[in-house]
Amino acid sequence: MNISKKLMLIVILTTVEVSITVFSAFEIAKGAKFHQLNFLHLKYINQLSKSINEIEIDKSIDTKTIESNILAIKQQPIDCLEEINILNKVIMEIINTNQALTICEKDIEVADTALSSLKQYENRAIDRHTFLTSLNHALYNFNEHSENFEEPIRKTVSFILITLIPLVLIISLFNILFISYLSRTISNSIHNLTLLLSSKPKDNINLDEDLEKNTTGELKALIIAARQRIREDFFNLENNKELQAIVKTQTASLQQANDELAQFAYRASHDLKSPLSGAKSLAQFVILDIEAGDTKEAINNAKIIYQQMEKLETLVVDILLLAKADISSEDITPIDFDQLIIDMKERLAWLMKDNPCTLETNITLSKPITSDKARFAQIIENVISNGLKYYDKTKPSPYVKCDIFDKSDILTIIVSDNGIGIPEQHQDEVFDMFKRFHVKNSTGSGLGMALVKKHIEFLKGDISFESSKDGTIFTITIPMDKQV
Amino acid sequence: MNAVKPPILIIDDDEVDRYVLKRLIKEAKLELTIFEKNDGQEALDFLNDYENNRQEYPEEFPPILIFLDINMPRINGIQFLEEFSKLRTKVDDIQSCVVMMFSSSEREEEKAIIMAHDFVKGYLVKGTFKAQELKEQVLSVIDAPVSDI
Repeated sequence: MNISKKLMLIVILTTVEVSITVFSAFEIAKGAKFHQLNFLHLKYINQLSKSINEIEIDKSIDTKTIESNILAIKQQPIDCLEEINILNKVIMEIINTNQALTICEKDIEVADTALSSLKQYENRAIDRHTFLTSLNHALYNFNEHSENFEEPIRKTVSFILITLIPLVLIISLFNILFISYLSRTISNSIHNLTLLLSSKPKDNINLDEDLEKNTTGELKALIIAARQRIREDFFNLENNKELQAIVKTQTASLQQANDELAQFAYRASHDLKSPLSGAKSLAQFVILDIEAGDTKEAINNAKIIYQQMEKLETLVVDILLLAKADISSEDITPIDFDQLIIDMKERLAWLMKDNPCTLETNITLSKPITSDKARFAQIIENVISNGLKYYDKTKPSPYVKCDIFDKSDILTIIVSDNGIGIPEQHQDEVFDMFKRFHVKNSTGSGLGMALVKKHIEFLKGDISFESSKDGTIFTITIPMDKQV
Repeated sequence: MNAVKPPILIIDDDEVDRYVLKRLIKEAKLELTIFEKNDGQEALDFLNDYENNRQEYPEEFPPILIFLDINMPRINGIQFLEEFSKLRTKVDDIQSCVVMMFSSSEREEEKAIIMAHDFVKGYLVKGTFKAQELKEQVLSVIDAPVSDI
């Protein structure tokens, strides 16, 4: 039963209790009124009796006084019958005290008879003696009625006292007990709910179930509404947090991209400007040398200018390649690795000429590889050319070895050498742009390994290396099933 | 006229840039002994090997002026200045050595860090100056002889 129904029951019970109490009070008051009316009745009977006595002594009959006396006597039973309602009649019938009503009716009849005798006497229809006899007869009946009237009224009043007062008491008692019980159940359910809600989350894993079981009515509705509200608030909070986190990471990655771009622009412009300003100065020297007749020096400087321009060209080509590495190409073809190596050797002819390094390649593929050929060519060429550039002059038989093989959809490229190795303190900068770690032999743009890294990231592959003074091993793995 | 040619050190990884600077020094008719190093690491090794160099070049070590590039492999110009300022507190003779920047970079934030060192006396931008200008700059920081020829 919900709280509002319980409270409604308490209200109804209290109303009934109060109604019965008020009704009883009225009934008891009515009983008192009946006694009062009877006393009044007796008083007027007494007056009538006095009048009759005076008539008997005086012999003169004052019909006016007699009439008013009888009318006064008749008034009480009339009042009495008017006071009685249906409920009173029912009660009186049940407890068999309704003769009081009959008495009233008879009394009125007697009064009417007496009044008609008075009229007859005035009209001389009856004589004085008959009239007096009828008056005495009426007087007798009046007295008798008054006497008999007391008993049923007393009985009725005491019945009301005996029955209704204990009833009121019983209802009151029940009411008190019931209110106590209900208030306890209400406060108990609130208390239980408070306990459930204030329990620690780890002690109560099934809070939702427990709440479902232990609450009813308005409390259940309250809990459901509260839970809904808390969930929504929490959800909004979580959402906000998530959004904030997204904004934060995106801002950070944008910042990083921006920094990288600024760094790239700075380094690229520096590295582009450097050979240009060198060539510019050298060109001036060439003019001066020719003017001074020093053709030998002029030719030397012109050669250096040529080399500077070549360096510039390489750099521009590498920057373009790097920019293109971010763009996905549609040139997906089966790759002939043997041909790829032959082409690469042609391009690296300048580096391999007068180079004591041996280059050995082993290609073992179980099935043809279909991918972006240009990316593979640039990856392999850059790693191999680094090996060739940084060979160790102090070692007897310098080599660069390249193994290409596949195993369960993973293509592996291993390039190993016994070169001078990457200095340990610079190993985490290998894939950064414009990084060169060896002062001499610095022929490249410093973009090669950055380009390799970009291509491998694009192909969703991985590159790692181990390097020491004994040499360097690069291991590249590319999952072929992830290729488009 | 001083018989001794004051020693200077050029630290630059670009051979062409070093050649250009040497040629301008020659054009300016400055009589200098020139050491060349490829990057900050090589230069620091050279300066740190104080005792041996002192014996090897009794008249020409340590250099009194350093031309310093910024972008170099291994130890760059800015890192070199840090190490060099530490070295100056340790070795008395080096304290009189000053630095003139020689770079193609003109980044303001870098320049501020570099010029904060009180021993950095000038900032030459590659390809923007002629022999006469170089001569004035060098003579403003060191007392170098100028040949008559």
